[in-house]
Amino acid sequence: MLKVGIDVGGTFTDIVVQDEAGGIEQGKVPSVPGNEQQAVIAALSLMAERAQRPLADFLGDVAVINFGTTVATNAMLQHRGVPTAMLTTKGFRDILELRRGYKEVLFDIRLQPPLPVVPRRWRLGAGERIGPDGEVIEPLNEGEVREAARKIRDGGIRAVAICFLNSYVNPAHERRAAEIVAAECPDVDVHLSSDVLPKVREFERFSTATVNAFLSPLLRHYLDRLVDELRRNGFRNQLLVMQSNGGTAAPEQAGRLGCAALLSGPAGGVAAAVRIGEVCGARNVIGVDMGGTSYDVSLVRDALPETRTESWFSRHFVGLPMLAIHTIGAGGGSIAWVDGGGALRVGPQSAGARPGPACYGTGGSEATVTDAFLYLGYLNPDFFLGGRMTIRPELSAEAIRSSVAAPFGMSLDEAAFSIFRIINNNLSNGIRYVSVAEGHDPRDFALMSFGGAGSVTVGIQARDLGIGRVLVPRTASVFCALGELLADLRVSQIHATPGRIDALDPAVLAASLDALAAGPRQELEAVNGVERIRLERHAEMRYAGQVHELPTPLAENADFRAAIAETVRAFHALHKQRYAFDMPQKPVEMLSVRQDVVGSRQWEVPKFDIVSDPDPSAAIKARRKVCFPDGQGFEWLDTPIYDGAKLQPGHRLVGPAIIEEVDTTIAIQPGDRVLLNEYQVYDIAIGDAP
Amino acid sequence: MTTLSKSELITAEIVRNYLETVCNEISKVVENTSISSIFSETHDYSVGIFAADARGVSLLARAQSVPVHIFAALTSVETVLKIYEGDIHEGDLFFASDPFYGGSHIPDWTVVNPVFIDGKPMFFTSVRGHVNDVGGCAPGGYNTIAREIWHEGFRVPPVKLRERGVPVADIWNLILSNTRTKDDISGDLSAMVGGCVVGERRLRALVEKYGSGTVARCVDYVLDYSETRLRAEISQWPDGVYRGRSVLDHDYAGGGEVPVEATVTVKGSDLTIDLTGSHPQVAGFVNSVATNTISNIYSSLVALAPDIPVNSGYFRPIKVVLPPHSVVNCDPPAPVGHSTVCIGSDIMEAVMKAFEGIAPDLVGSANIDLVNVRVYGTNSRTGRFFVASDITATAMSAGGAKGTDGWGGYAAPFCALRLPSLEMYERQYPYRYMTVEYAIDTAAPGKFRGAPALHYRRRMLDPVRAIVYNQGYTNPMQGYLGGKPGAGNYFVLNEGAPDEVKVTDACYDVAVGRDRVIFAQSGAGGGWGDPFERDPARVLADVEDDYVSIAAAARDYGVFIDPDTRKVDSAATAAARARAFEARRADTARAA
Repeated sequence: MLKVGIDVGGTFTDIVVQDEAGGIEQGKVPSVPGNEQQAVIAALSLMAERAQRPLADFLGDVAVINFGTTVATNAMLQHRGVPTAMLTTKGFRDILELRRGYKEVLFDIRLQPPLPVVPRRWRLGAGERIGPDGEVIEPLNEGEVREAARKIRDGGIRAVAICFLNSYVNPAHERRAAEIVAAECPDVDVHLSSDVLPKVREFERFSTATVNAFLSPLLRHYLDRLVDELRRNGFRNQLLVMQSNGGTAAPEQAGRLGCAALLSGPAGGVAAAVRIGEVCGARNVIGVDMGGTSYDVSLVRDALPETRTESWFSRHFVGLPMLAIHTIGAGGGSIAWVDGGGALRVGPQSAGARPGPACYGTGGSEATVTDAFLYLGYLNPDFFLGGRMTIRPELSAEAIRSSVAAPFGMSLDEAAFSIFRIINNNLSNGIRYVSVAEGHDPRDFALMSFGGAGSVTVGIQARDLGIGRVLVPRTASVFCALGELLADLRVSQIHATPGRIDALDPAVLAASLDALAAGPRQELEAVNGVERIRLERHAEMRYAGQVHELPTPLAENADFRAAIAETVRAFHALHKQRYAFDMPQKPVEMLSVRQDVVGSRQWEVPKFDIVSDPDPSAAIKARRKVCFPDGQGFEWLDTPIYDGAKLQPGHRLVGPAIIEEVDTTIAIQPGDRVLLNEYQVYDIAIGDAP
Repeated sequence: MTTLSKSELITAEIVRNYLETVCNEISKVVENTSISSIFSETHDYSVGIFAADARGVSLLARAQSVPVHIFAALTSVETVLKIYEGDIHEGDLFFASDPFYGGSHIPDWTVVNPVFIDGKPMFFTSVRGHVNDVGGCAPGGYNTIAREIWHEGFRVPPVKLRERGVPVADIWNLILSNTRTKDDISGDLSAMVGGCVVGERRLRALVEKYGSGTVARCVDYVLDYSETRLRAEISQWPDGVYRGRSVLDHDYAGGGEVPVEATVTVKGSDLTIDLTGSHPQVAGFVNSVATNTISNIYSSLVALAPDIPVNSGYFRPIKVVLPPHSVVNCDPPAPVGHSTVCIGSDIMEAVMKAFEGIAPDLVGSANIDLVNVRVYGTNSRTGRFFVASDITATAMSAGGAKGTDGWGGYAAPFCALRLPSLEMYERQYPYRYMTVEYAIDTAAPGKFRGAPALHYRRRMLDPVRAIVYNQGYTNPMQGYLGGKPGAGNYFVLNEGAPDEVKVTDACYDVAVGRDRVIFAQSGAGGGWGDPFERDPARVLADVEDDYVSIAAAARDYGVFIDPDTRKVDSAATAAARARAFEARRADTARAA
């Protein structure tokens, strides 16, 4: 049976098919905006065609389709979720709008408010009150709930989030209100804050629940249509959807949790970075993905991607565990400009795809990062996107002259290299912020580049951060689709705990967590291909009085009391590692436990034979001058250009060198040593690194 | 101006970005690790990197933070260096909190960490934050009946917390023992020190990479850069002399209204801000030391030109004149505890009002108006003493500005403060929230209206004592360019009970019984522009959202909405607006 990974991006839909022997076939078709499933079928048809089989026959042989989608992401970015209402504790309907006082740009008094997910007219109150210990202080006013439900029914609303104070300790009122709403408006989607994010802090929980209500009906409807379409074409087995937590989930689960699909696309790339890192012996990886407008940085530690539980998406808070993908506004299209203080800046404005970098010849007159790369010799004008696109170096030079060289009185070389330095610094700062600021030492990590543009500079980021090893997989161009195929199934759960560790009954906690896991465990066991279920548990811990929790892995020990004690010790150590101090004498609190029920399945990264002769010189297709950093200055070096298609596993080379793959260019800094390994990964040793 | 080679110019820009990244890192450490909620949850702290050379100390970069720290951070470091000149060693760590030694008010603690390069302190990393208690008469540090600085808490002039790498245990103990919540504040102090240490590591890496000579030259560039950008901004403003005024309701000592007068002179790329004419020093605790006054002046400027990085170069084009012995430049031993906000915000508002004539498209409320209550007592659930400084009551401050209505809570520059989580506070303190919601018809009308006022109601579950301090009842936040003022602030103690009392100024240490209710209205900022020019579609949307009633739409905006069809009556609206316009023109003509 075959396994399939499909990633629907904004421009292309990527597909990866893996056979039982582990062999991989990859392809790309154009995406169809607004009609994702059409591109999915087109991608599958392409692979069937290559296998010279009818689509129905090919799909009949597919065991699983793993799928990454931007449906939820785009709905959020374009603010096009379904009309949504919120039913909340009377007297508190503005919690969402107050945002706990958060404002993105502190001193900008003209900053517009975010577009509301639920406008105030649809934030409806009902009398009820639960106290902080779960006690009922005021019973639910069912008449008011019914009245609100009727208003919702008559108002063209498609989803409602029920958000009551302290529902995380006692969801009874939310559940009863849901029954009433369901009875009054059977066609409206109902989401409870105590289901979506059963955690203390009302703004965070309410916001997550309303975003979920806003997105879920769209995603579910879309998945229903997709499954129908696939079934009609002969697919009989399991569809899985990539989730923001880095795992996949069955469509029924995914459709209930629209806000868990916000990173469905990029999460695949991180999942692939985990697996590729693992086979290459790098369990700590910083992943970087540079596109046209943005640079995504993610971090994998001990083969587990870093997640966060506080994300702002399109200016709305989402508290579900998501991969910690840190995005900075720096990409191939980032524009170089001179600000009011006479400083050279690069980005965050981007020329995007239109007008694009000056060299595209499509009207862009400002110098971009791509123009600097081209001028400095990193990019080959005759082999841009594998020769699929013609670009004009003279336009890059002109743009660099007018936007940088002239205002600074620099030579063209100096100007182009200045853009290069600034963008490199921006990228290195971005990586530093996600790694060092979280208490990680980047020297313990390998740096993996898997976007189209990032491999030109990745060797410089490695140097800036003291990283000795860089990995550039050749599968980079379909990396997300590949990751979807290699990821485990993963259901994230949250269980609120009473707070002070000394008030915690370990036996009760252990039983609650096991009970919570039972449902997903059963669901996952039923999924074809899942071999083993494991639980990953993180305790959200802090010193009494702190307001931020540090997720600490819950120690595994059959004696759960001992496990808690070990976890507390681990918390002190982790606190010290991250923040330079600990307070062992201070009481420790555990606010909740995050539990991931993980369905492991078999995965394999295809392995290739190593050639006996490591000499790659037959792959050299040309030589050209390329401008490399030399101290704080630069030098033009006569540099061999390798045809990536001709390099084979086992080949070794030393920089300076340029490797041209169809979808990416890799710059090897002078002295760096490269091995194309048996997993088709360029494994680069930086400087003096072994 | 510094002369750098072209390549160094690029390096300098890289260094500038790097310093800002380092400040953000330090800030993150402090946020994640401090204990007191005013620190960790409400972000009332700031982070700075300073450089010292023969010419003195310069602020190089800072993380986004509440305005009051902007300038005080610099003067605190300067004072430490002056006092310890010749006695600063590698491994030393300094502390200061005394307002008359470069500070603002006693609860703002500053930690200063010298970073030695080549045997000399080349940089300082510093964290400055507002701690929850500093001893003195009033738990929480706001003593409304203070008449001199000693009534406000324990003053700490510059001292060493660590000497040549060895912690000075007796000093730590002395400082911490003079707080009511020693355990928590000890954690905060550790967090501040932790942030400084993390910053030091990054600065060492910077010097290692570029060499100390290059970095020193880049530092000059960083300062010149901000100066150049601010001068470019000032040059666009019309030359002239402009005036603004703001009035504080009372001084907490029966002294009546306290006006602040600002005269702003624009000349080329230079700016003079003169507060001459402001009220003399007062008896109550709203007096401001010069440092705090200057911080608040800069806050208004930063709101007018928000994307210029603030450092010592930013301060160069600006000349500040402060009248001696005044409420904006007081002499010891005046009490100053409340000045960071009350008089501070009036300083900001007076300056902003002066700018109405200079940069009308950029002005709007940048200050807040204080309405606050501290409750304290013993929590019967835990048996522990507690001080709850719940800033939810002060949530609103955003006004209208060109192109946008006021929105959110704290969405003025003071919004570095974060509102607490109600659920978290209910776990910690013996009270229950009954209402936290906007009130209808409380948003200041304007072409772009202010945010609505917040109504806030809590029931006490244990008997507590309260300190209430309120301003902005008679002088709420002002509107701009014809926009109306905000709704103003007040308290009601024991709401609904026989001993109900409305508080519009202050009360000190009053008992509030179990099950009694405290209510507060927090009014927001003023409107921007004439409300009769507001787009009727926006007024209709406000009516649909219950921000504005149908009656107020007609009265405040001249927009008539049919209560049955919920549609704008365009003819009636046009007629009412034309009449109002005509009447105003007649008024103007008469006045002329």
